[in-house]
Amino acid sequence: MNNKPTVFVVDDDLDMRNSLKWLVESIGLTVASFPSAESFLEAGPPARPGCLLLDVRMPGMGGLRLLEHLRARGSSLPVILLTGHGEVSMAVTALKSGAFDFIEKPAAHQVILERVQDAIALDRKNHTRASEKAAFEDLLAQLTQREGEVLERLVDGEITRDIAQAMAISERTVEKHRERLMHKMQAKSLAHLIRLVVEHRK
Amino acid sequence: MLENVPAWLPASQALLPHGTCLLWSPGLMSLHVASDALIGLSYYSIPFGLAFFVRRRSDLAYRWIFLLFAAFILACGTTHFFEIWTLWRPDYATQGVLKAVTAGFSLSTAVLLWPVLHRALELPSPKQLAAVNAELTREIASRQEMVRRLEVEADERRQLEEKLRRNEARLRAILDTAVEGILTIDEQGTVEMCNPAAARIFGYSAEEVLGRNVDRLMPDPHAEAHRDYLDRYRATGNGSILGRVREVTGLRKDGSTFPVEIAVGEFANGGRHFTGILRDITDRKRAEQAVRDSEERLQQQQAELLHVQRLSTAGELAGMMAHELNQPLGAIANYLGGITLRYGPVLEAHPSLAEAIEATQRLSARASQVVWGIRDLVRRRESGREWVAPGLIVEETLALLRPELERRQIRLQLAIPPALPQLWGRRVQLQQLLLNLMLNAMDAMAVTQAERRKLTVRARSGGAGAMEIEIADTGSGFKPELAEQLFEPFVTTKPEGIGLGLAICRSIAEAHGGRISARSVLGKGSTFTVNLPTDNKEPARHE
Repeated sequence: MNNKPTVFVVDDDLDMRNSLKWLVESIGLTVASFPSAESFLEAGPPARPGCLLLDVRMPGMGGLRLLEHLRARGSSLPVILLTGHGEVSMAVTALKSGAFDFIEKPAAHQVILERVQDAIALDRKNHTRASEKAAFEDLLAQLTQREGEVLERLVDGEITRDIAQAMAISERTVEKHRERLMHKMQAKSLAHLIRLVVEHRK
Repeated sequence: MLENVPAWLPASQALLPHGTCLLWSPGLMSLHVASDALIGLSYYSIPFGLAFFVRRRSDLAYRWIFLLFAAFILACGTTHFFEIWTLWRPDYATQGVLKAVTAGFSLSTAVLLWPVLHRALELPSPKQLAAVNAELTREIASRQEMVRRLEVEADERRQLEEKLRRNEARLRAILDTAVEGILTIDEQGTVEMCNPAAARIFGYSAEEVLGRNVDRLMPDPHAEAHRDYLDRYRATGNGSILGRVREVTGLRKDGSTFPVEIAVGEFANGGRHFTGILRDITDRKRAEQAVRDSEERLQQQQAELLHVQRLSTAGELAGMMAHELNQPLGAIANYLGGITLRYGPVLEAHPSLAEAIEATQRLSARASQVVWGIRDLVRRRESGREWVAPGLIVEETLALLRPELERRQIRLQLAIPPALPQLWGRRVQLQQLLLNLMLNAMDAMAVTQAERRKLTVRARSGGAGAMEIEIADTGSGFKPELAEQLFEPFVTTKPEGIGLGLAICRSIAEAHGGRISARSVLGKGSTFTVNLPTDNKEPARHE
């Protein structure tokens, strides 16, 4: 996973496209620009983390339909819609369709960059969460069936005696299982373990 | 001489038979005997004739004189026969008695005859009688004729009366069942007749109206005017309203007034009388008012649409211009922003350059504000939002087009379900959207054969919080690759079109949080679909 974020720009207006590229590259971000929604889709799944600066009004597949298409495909790429002034109703529709935000054109460059950075931060966070979750799932997979059961009961707040009784094993065995699963899950404490489980199961 | 007396004759006293005087001359004797016999026989025959006459003429006046006469003649006859007797037998005493009897009859007859004669003269003669009789017969005949005629007349009269009764019954039935109120008044205005409908119309019973002045059925200024009118008409015969149907105001018993249509006729029947046939036209008035209102509404809608059409065209143009200008303005801002970020140290070293760049940024922002300002100015004049029923909007729009549809021989197929969710939007804009699409559809069918021309308007609920309106035609259609471009400004398939209609449609649909799309089979027809959200009013809030 490349950690350098990419900003995608989709706008049919060449000047606008180039100027956005110029602006965003000014803060050291990589920009990939496309003249249409179709050409963006043709380029394949976008690199992450990143965000998409998307013009609403384009011939062919417009910005809104591209957004819907992405969401339908399950992509979580944050999308900032570039709308004309007063096209608020469209922007609201866009937000409902899952856009990260919208910006009225023309906007101060600070506003554009701020939103781009916010979007990237979100995507990165999403991305981090996603990789953490993947790692957590990997660790979880190493547990034996017994250790998994003990973990479930610990997360549910049962004490050792109850667990032993419920599982018809000795308290000593329960403690052994716990030690082993905490080691496997790389948990520093019981509290840490429970937090990990709860966070990734949301 | 005695020897000459036949032996069979009774002997008498010593008187000589009369024959003696004749000296028994056989000639003289024969003469006398024959003459007397003939006279006597003649005399005797007469009473029989008389008796026959009397018997046959039972109507004879003074029958007794005939009988007396008969007796007198019979007696005369007898004296003559007795003369013959006395020729041989001198029974003069008997003869004398006989003559005396005869004299009695004669005298009686002679005496009684005169007054009778006098009176008999006054009796009509049979000719006269016949004339009288004929006269009488004629008279009888004429009387019989008269009687016959009277009977016929009586019969006719009976029939006439029957007819009158029937007519009256019919009239009564008509009056009783007539929907129209029927009143008759005399020239003072007193109600003489009032049918149930008339009473009902005014909320009275017939008895309450009869005999009262008709002006109680009119509200005050009218009642006064009616009295004056009657006075004037009575005096001068001027100002006749007869034969014309007029609209007046009626007053009900409960004091409410209502419009009445009335036709007045006049008839003479011992003075002037007037018949009024009247009708409560409240409902009709209301219907007329409704028609007027709806026409007014239609005109108002047309005016509004025209106004909005102009505004939208201006708005669309302004919006387009704004968009086209803002693209380069936005690019300028982006470039300048990039410059300030990339060349911070250079700008710090050259403050005047930094100033110039800052001014350029400010000016480009100002330019775009000016552009948007123009657009907002147009937008601000648009009407506000309200809840609108899609079916009603379709109806209102079609109302504007129906005459044109008819003129162009285009059939209309409507499929609007009754229970569609309401839209939160600008009524007139939505109307304009539909109107543009319908007009396009109608124009597209100009080349279609008349029997194939069909405009279909369909609406349906498009799942939760959405609805769909479809306008389909059987016109020339367009190439599928044009489907997306069609809504761009200045794209048109019409020779005289400027290509803003569909751009406006798209703007309106999008302003309502919806979208519009088109599909077509070239040469077969096109379908335009408008999807609009119905769930909430959020999309409108900011505008």
